[in-house]
Amino acid sequence: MKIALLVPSFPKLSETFIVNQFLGLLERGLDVHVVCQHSLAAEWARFPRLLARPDARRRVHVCWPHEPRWRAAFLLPAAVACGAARRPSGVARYLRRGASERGVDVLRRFYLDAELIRLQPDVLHFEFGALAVGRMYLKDWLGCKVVVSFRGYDLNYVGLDDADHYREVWERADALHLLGEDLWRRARRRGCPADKPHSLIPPAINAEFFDPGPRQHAETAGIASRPLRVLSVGRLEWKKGYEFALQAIKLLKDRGVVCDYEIVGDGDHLEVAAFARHQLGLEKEVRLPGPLPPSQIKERMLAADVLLHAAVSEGFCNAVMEAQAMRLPVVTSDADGLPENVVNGGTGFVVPRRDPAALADKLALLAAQPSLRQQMGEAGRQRVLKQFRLTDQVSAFEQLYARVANRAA
Amino acid sequence: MADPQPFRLLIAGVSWPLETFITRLIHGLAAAGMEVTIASKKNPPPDWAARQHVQFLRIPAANSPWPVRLLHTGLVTVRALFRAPGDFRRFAANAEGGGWHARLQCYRRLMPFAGKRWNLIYFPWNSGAIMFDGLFELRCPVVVSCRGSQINLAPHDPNRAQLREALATTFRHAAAVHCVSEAIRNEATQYGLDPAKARVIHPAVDPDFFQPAATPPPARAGLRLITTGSLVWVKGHEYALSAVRRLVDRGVDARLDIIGDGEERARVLYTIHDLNLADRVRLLGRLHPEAVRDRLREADVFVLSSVSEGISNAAIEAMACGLPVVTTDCGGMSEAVSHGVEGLVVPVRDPEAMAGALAALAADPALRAKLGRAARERVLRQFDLKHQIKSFVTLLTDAARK
Repeated sequence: MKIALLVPSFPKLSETFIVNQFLGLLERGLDVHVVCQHSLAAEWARFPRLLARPDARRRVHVCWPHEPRWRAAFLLPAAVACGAARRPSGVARYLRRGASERGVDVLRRFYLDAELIRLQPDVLHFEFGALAVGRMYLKDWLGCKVVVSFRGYDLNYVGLDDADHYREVWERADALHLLGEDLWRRARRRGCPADKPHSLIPPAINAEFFDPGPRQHAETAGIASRPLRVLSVGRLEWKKGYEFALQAIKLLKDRGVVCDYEIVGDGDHLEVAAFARHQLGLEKEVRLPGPLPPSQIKERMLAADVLLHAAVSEGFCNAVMEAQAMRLPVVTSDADGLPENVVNGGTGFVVPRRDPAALADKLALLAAQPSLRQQMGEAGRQRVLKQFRLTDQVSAFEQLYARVANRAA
Repeated sequence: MADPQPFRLLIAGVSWPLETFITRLIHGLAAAGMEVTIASKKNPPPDWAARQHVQFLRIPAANSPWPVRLLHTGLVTVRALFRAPGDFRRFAANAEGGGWHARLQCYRRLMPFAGKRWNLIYFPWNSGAIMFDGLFELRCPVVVSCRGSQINLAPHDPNRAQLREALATTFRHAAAVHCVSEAIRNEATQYGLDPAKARVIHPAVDPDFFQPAATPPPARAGLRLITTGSLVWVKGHEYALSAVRRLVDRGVDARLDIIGDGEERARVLYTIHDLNLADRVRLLGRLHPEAVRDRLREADVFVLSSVSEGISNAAIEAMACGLPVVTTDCGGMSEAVSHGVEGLVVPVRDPEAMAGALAALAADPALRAKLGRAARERVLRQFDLKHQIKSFVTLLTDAARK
């Protein structure tokens, strides 16, 4: 069984879960490949585990370049020849089916799909729902099964003003993968039939890497000599709700709870966060160091008292899982999958989204009670070890693919 | 006594299509007898081509194919070399320091201006003045406008650390600096603006165009809110939507129309759905001024939820149409709306306070009518286009004498 994972770019620091899934399946001995538009050398350098597997690079296939278009026109004959030499029957099927459905446009499609045609997977896995829109024809033209993942943004706001945006996906995908109950509810709200075959597979993290060893939350924090060290990790985007997080820090400051807040990440909302920091008078309390590699994120999590995640839209959030693995209590909003990720009152606190005052209350509580931080941190580690293990996740994917592949067409 | 020579004005650092308020200003200045030259990368749209007292100067476009760009840049450079060797030398010196690419960019931008002289150069945007700082070499007096984000937001962006210095340089060289509000003038003094050079001229609207409906809309239940603003973070639409949610939860039958488009449309759309407001909030997209006016006339209250503003033209248009305004207290907004007189002013990032203000207006139609009348009067007093053009003519001619 040959599996192709389809992503826009590979590998990517902010999509480490794809790397984990790929390596996990590979280690189980599955014939798994990645097909992507871009693959940057600088990003490869950030994943020693990928570099350690010599066959990994062979299994990552970069599509032929789209831009500039005139060059694509020149490369088309090469793409056809390349495919025809290796997979004559696959090319013939693609062109035959394609020509009958789309006419001449099949040539443009062929160019874009050349790597997939050459690969001839048994299971094609769109790793994000948005990628599958307009490409469900691949199921027939390649003669494969199709799995589509929904991870958050794709159901939350992509194509929200078009009621039929995902109709083809609901009709034709062989199975869906969703991160949790909340996304499954959203899928049904957006027209997915309730009997659609689907698997709820939460993301997983490498709990051996994110292992703090024994740690003590012993000090009362939030005073001048010992500020509460608050950490956020995640791309600087509107959906992460950093303006609300910064307002919470401002409320704490006004109450006399001294905080030291760091937001690790990069993105187009850096200027937004920087302006909010200025407007709220938090230049002294808030640092924006930019993106950091996992090893340094681990260090920051070790030094922090609490992880704050104020997202307004969030599939599941790996950083919140990593924090729990690091015995770090978390304060999060209730966006999408976060209530499934965090046990409210157990491994942290879950409060309504867009509610800085509620965030501030819980942060103040944790500042004053080191024993609560200790207890929640420990519960977080246990939760990750039980619920979000990489091996379980890989097994679940393995089962999903086997089920889909064995189902009669 | 009229000058025998017409006043020659260069407007640089703009791109087509021009913003409505810049268009109105240019028409006003041309009508006041100035010879206006607009320098830009693209040809003007056809409705501009035959306009009297307005000329155009083409700069080779940075995004045209490189052979075209190179040829165009070469031609203007050769022309500069022969027609105005002095300017050529000065511009060449300005280009020095960068790599060959940066130098070519500099030639491309500056050489078209060689050998030409104006009574005054006007940059409607700080960013334009920074990009074309080489034009200061022409030794013509320069006026720059401070309008909003370049002063209020950009200097805080860690990725634009060099901006503060660039702002200071342009302020130092400018003969006068126009600010759209007192607030932005005060903000700009941090970046080297000498208050003595600054002149506040508030934005303005045409009160004959933006005026209340001849017959007031029939009395009806519910509260119709409206806001105009690009769908970008600085407009704070998420706070306005949260306020509407709270308002509805308080039992007010409120609806909101949002006019505008922008890069965060997905965010606004998501928030509408997430707050379960899809049947109450409409995204109308970008509209023509006539359509904007018609929508304003149908509304009860104008809402402005921005986290930062120079001073909002959209709010002034609404006031001209006789709408009371609920606005955040940002930038120069308190120079247009006094709390309890033309509308209600609430803190930024505070949906609860905004919902409270809206609820007060929802409950009191007489108060809405009173504030709306006061809003219209304030526009006639303070934001009338006719006065603004006069102030600009004075500012520009005074600066040219320096």
